[in-house]
This record gives sequence, structure tokens and C-alpha cells, in this order.
Amino acid sequence: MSALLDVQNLKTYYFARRGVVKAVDGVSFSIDQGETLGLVGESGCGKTMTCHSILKLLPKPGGRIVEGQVLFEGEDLVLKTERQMRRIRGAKISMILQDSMTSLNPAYTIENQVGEVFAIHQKLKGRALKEKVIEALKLVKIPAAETRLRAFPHQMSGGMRQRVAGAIALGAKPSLIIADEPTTALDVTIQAQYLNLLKEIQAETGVAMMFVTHDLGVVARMCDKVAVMYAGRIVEKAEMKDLFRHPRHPYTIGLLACLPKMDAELDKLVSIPGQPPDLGALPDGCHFAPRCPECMEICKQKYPEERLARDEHYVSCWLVEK
Amino acid sequence: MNDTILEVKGITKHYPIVAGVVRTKPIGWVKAVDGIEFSIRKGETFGLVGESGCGKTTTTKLILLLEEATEGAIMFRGTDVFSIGRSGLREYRRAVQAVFQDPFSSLNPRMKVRDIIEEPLVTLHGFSKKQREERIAECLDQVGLPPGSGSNYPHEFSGGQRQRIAVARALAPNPDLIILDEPVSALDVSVRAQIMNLLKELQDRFGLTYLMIAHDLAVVRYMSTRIGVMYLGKLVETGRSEDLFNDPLHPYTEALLSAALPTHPDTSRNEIVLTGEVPSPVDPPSGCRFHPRCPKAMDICSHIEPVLARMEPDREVVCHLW
Amino acid sequence: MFRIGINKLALIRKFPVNPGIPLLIVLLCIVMAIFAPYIAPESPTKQSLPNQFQEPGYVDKDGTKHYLGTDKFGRDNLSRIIYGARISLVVAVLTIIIAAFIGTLLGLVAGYYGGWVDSLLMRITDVGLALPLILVALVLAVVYGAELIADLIPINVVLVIGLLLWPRFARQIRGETLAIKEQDYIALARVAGCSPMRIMIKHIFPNVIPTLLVLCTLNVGYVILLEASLSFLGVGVPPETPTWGLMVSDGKGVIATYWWISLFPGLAIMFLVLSLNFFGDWVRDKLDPKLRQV
Repeated sequence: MSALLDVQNLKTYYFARRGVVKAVDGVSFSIDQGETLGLVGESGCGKTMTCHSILKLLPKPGGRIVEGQVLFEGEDLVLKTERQMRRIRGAKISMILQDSMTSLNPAYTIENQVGEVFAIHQKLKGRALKEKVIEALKLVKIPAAETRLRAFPHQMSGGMRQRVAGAIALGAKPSLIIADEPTTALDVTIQAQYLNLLKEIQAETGVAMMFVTHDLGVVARMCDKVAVMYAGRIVEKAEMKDLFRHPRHPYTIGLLACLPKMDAELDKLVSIPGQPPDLGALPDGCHFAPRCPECMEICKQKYPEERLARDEHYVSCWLVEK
Repeated sequence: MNDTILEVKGITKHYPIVAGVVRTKPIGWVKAVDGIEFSIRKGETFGLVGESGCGKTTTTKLILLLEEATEGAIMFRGTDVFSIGRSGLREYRRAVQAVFQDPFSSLNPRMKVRDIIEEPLVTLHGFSKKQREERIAECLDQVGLPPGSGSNYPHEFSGGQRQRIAVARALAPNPDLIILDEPVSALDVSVRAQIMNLLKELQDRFGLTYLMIAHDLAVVRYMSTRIGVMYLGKLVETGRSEDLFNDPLHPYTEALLSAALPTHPDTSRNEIVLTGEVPSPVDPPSGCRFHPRCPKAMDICSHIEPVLARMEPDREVVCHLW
Repeated sequence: MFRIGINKLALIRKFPVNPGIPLLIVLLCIVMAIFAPYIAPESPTKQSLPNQFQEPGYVDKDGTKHYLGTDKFGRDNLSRIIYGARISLVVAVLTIIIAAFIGTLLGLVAGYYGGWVDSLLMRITDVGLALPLILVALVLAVVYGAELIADLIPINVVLVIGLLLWPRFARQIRGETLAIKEQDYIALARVAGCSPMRIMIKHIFPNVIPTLLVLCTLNVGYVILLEASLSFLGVGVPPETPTWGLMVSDGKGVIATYWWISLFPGLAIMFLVLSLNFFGDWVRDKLDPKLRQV
């Protein structure tokens, strides 16, 4: 059985005046039908560029996919034309972004924005369109959906706006949703509501999700699988619980250890020294080597290829025996 | 009570909502902060938590005298800061410093790091050029920046390093109290622990007092000795950090704690997901402001505002249940 | 194939920010203005009836070659253009200094204090923007006459254009100040005990300098055009003065036959203004620390 989305050795570079930024440098992962993958990493690690590569929404000029395949339902999206991609975006793969203040257009009503998907992909008009919009708003549990149609984004709260963004993403019944930090801008109690909502919708519709986040709490709550990204590459990927229980890559271990806990008094946090590297000037060898507490001679010379640590648990680290 | 450094007494801030084209007049008031009281003792970290719009940032602006309070008083070592003279104000400006959330907007891009750190010393007068130079070098060293970084501009540093510069600047005039407004939330996960540890270490070394604002409860737990929980411009509960986390008294605190996602999938928790959204501070609900969302609401809650109940020496809660 | 891609991209992004040629033209004009007596082949006011309306390249009987021809009084066109650069640049520099000073001061104060101070200053600015330039210039010319101070500064022109220009500066600087005021470093400066004066000078002003410089360079072009228009209308500058605007005006009646009289000063105006605009863009890119980072 083949995966819904299978990204193979994807490389997306950004060509700037000062040189090449290797934003995504050989990333592979897959998502099955109805599954949720968490892509974890810090800002500037290339996770957003990875999402944009899948939908081929790269910054122009300068960004391009240099190598690799993005197999979606068996077809390679890298080879698709812009026209073909437009039929996939929104209809088969859609996106929820972090900031609903900017991801919704302030000049249009909710009805207009949610309706756009149906107007484009299903060529609906008039009554039928309006009913579809209400249906979509009800799916994301917006109270009194009928009365919200004429509202503008600024008249709604952050949580409600993010639901509208969800309605737009889910409207055309896509098989994959890419959620890029969807709850980062929300308050704690609203975040809990929203995550619950996404889980319910997933159970109902069987949509697969790719959750891009820096928040390990969100991952622990939402995902089946996790891929940890550092400086343009995936350093570790595994089943979610397996990764939390037995992290193998020093970066993952550090990331888990440096978080303060809700349920324990701590004297001092373990911290990862240094700063994330500049993607335009990566160190030779393993990208994490300069910050790694267990750095060896070989780490400074050669990037470790991916190896299997245990069932379905892949790590790119010299410490792990092949 | 002579170890109290700062006492906030019934402080209130109402912003007018103006309407009209030619002659503007207020048509309502945003009750951003509505009569809150707390005190901060020497050497402790007082954490203020709450969701966006609860008034925690306004509270710090009032303490920093960046906004004028509508009502109430702030006592600094026993004197009211709203009515201290010029020299008193100068002393207050020395004694109270701040570190803000966004290290990109909090450092003037056109000033060298040295000048940024020097600024509070210049306005204080009474320091010779040489003394200031020495103090700058000292502060850079204390926050772990290389001695030469003074002659660089902020944009040459990463987010974490910039936050170190901001801390160095706050340290420069030997303050008694530092206000930390979301000091780590804009930083990368792997860098947060560094900054939190730095802040704790400086506190131990110099006997600093912190007032910290954060929305990340785990961060607050790690940093604070005492915590105040705000909801819609009111303080609903205060208590010592571990008491409050282990045994929350106010239903809102309880819900807030349960909504925060544990960073490990194996952590068990009982989840209370609040319904609805935070009401607008323009027209807050009658009685207890939390009653429309409160899972334990009683009849009395909707029409009588609860008064503060002192549970233990260090424990206060504003709720009809107690 | 891949390599070509990179180079192409680099080219596209580099093109608008190459300051070489514009800078050269601006420098050429400045050199022309300063050293006019040494460069110009003839005096700009020397008239000669036999040399009337001679076309470019004409050699008169004294053996002097008139590279750009002569006008209706037989004056050498090239010499007049070289001397004309003086008036243009003097007017440009003086008015920009006046306008930038007043505009920045009022813009900073209005933006920083806000409230009624802002309202008052901005209404004054609106009045300034609404003044019809030509009318003001005509009135001043009638009242004070066309006058040159030290043979070089057409005081009326400088005053009129300065008066017209400062509101443009004030508006932009105020807008910029409003944005900068909201930055956290301004709040921190207040926390550190800085006075409003110090905040405006040390914190806000350095951050509006890029905008100010761009405004200056872009407006130099505008000023030169205005000066030319005023001279064209015969306002503010004595008629025998060599200025580019006046020269275009002189040739306007005979442009069909003696095209060179108007064309060359016109081209001079165009190239200088265009160069200044390019240069302005380049200055902005260079001065922005955020852009420099990339």
C-alpha cells in the first residue's frame, strides 16, 4: 500500500544575492491516509519551506526545488505545471496558517472567502454556494453560522477567525491539510478548543494532517508520527510516543530536556548551548555538531546518513550504530 | 511587610473608545485593568499569567509609567510613584528596568550595543565616561556576551543574543526590580532555556526582584516564586507557585492549567476545555466576570461580584466557591 | 542550466541599485556648477548679433566653435547650460536644507507628541500643501521683484519652493515617527528616564534618516523641475540669468526651426533629475540596516 504523501529526498534552495540558502536539504518523509505527522523544528530550520515546496508556493524569484520527488496519490507534484497545481491546491491539499489576521483578507466577508473554494473548484453559484458555505462553517463549529456570513474578519475573535481559516481549508474536502503553526497565535484555552476540533474533524472526515510546529506539547497531543528537523534536514523521525520515550538524536534529547515542566519544580533547566546555524553558512559535517554535547571527530567531517535505530525509528547521528 | 518592594493598590486603566467624525467623544470604555492589587517582595519572582487581553501587559505599562493610571496607586518602597518629585522619579527610573518580548523591536537598530547598554547610565548622570565604560564591560560579561560585542549593531546578533543585550541594558543601572514581559516567548525553543537560566542566575547573584509576564505556564512555573492569575482585567487568584499549580482554587486557574499541553504524551491530566471565548473588556459580564464560561457557576455568580478571600497567608482567591 | 538561473536572478535584483552612471551625472553637474568660469568656452551673457541662431557645431569668425549652437542673442548655448547648473544646484541645495529642517522638526514633534499638537501642526501642513505655487511665486515676484543675492541665489525662488516643500517632509517624517514611536526601544528609552527631547534626537531621528535622505534626493529632482518651471514663467530670476528653465522658455517660440535652444537645457534637466531619482533609491537601499543584512 502506498502512502498518501511521500516526499523523497526533497531539496529546496533559495538563491540570494549573497549565496545559496539550503533551506530544505534532502528531506524524506511520508504520510498515510488519515494520519497526522508532526514536523518539529525551530524558526528558520526549513519547515515552512518544506510545506511551501509541497504546494509549490515558493518565494519568487529565488526559491526553487532542486532535487527530489513529492509523490501525492502516486503522482509527482514537482513535475506538475502551475496550472495543474492550481487544481490540487485547496481541493486536494490545503493549508491553515498561523496568523488568521493576515491569512484572511480584511476586505471580504466570511461568505466570500469561504465561498471562493467552492466557486473555483466546484463551480458553484448562488443558493447552492451559500448552503455549502454554511455547511463548511458548521463543520468547524462556528456558532450561529448563518449570521456570520456577512461578517468581516476583524469583527471576529482570533479563535473564530482561525476556525474560518479551517473552514476554508476543509471546504473542498481535501485529503491532506498542512497546518503551519495553526495554534501559535491563540490563547491557551482557545488552543485546547481548536486542537480538539481538528481531532474531531479528522475522525469524521479521515483527512490526513501535517502539523508544522515548534511546540512539542501540540505534537504530543495531536500526532501519530513525528519528524524533527534541524538546519534543513530531518534528524530523527519515529512514531510519536516512541520518540518522546526513547529520543536518540542529541538534538531531540536536548529539545525535550530544555522545556520547563508544568508538573515539577526544577532548579535548573538543561540547555542546548549556542544558536541555530545560519542556513546560508552551514558547518561541515553534522549541522548540529557545534552545539552537540557528544560531538565526535567524525561528526565535524561527514554528515551522518539516516539509519534505523529500531522499528520505524530513523536517526541521522553517528552515535547510532547502523 | 518591610521586604515589600512594590505594591500595586487598586490600579485601574480604562481606555476611551471614541466615535464621531468632527467632534470625537468617548462612547464607552475598555476596562483593560480593573482594580487589581498585589505586592512584590524583595528577591522573588512574581509571575502574572492570563490570556491575551486580560490586562497583564497594561499592568506592566502602568508600573513602568508608560501609561497613566485611571485610578489607584503604585507604592515603591512605601512612596506613591504617581506623586513623587523629579529626583524621586529619577531614582524610580534607575530602580525599575524592563526586558520586553521582542528582541528585534526592543533594541534601536541605529545604536551600537555599547550605546544601548549605556543609555540608562547617561540619563542617570553622576557617572563618569570611564565608569560607564567599565559598567558596560561588566554587564556584557554578566550576560555572557564577548567583550568586543559593544561596538556591533543589534542586527549582527541572533534573537537569543539580542535578548542577552536587552538583559545587559536592564542590569546596567543596578536596578532593584526588573519587569520581564514575555522574555522568552519570541525565542527559539533551544535558546529559551539559556535565557531563563541566565535570568535565574543573575537573580541569585544580585538579589534581583522580577515581575514576569508570560502566557506559557511551564515557563511561569519554572521562573516564579509566586503567581497571580488574571482574567479580564481582574486578578482572580494569587499564591505560591507550587501551591497554585498543585491545587488551583479558582475554576479559571484550574481550566487554564488543564488546557496547557503537557510536553510528554505519557503525562496524564484531566482536561477541562472551556467553552466560549473571552468576553470583550468593553462590556464585561455582570457579577463574576468568569461566570459565563465557568463550569462551576452558581446562581449568585451572575449578579454578585465575589470578594477577595484570603485562604492562607500567601493565598488569595476571588470566587464565590471560597 | 542551473548556473544560468543564479546569474539571471542576481542580475535582475542588481539592476536598479547600480549607482555608477547616475552618480557620475550628478557629479558632473556639481563640477560644472563650481568650475563654470573655467570650463565654459565663453561668457554666458556675451551677445553677438552675427552669431544669432547658429546651429550646433557652428564656428564663428573668431574661430570659436559653438558645440551646442547659439540663441537669439548669439550667446553660446553650451556656456549657458554650464552656468545654468549653478542656479539649479544652488536653488536645490538651499531649498532642500530649509524644507528638510522645518519639515523634520515639525514632523518629529507632531508624531511624537500626538494629540492637539499633532492636529495643529498637520492642519498647518495641509495649508502648506494647498498653496498654489505659481500664484505665490507671482505675488512674491511682483512685491519684491526678481532679485539675485550675490549673483547666485534667486531668493524669491528659494523661499517659494522652500515654503512649498516643507510640508512634504513634515508629513512623511511624522508618519515614520508614528511607526517608530510604537517600537519597544522607545518604551525602554522612557523606562531608562530619557527626556522627550533626547528620545526624539537620539532614538527617533537616526531612524528617520534613511527616509529623510531619500526624500531629499527625490525632491532635489522636483525642486530643479520647479525652479525650471518658475524660470520658464519668468518669475523670480532676472531675464538675462542663465538657468535651464529660462533657456527652455527662450527657445519655445522658435522650437520648430531652432530646436537646439530648448532641447539641450531640457535634456540637462531630464538627465539630472533622473540621475537623482536613481541615486535616491540607491541611497535608501544602502542605508537600511535591515536590507544590508540580506
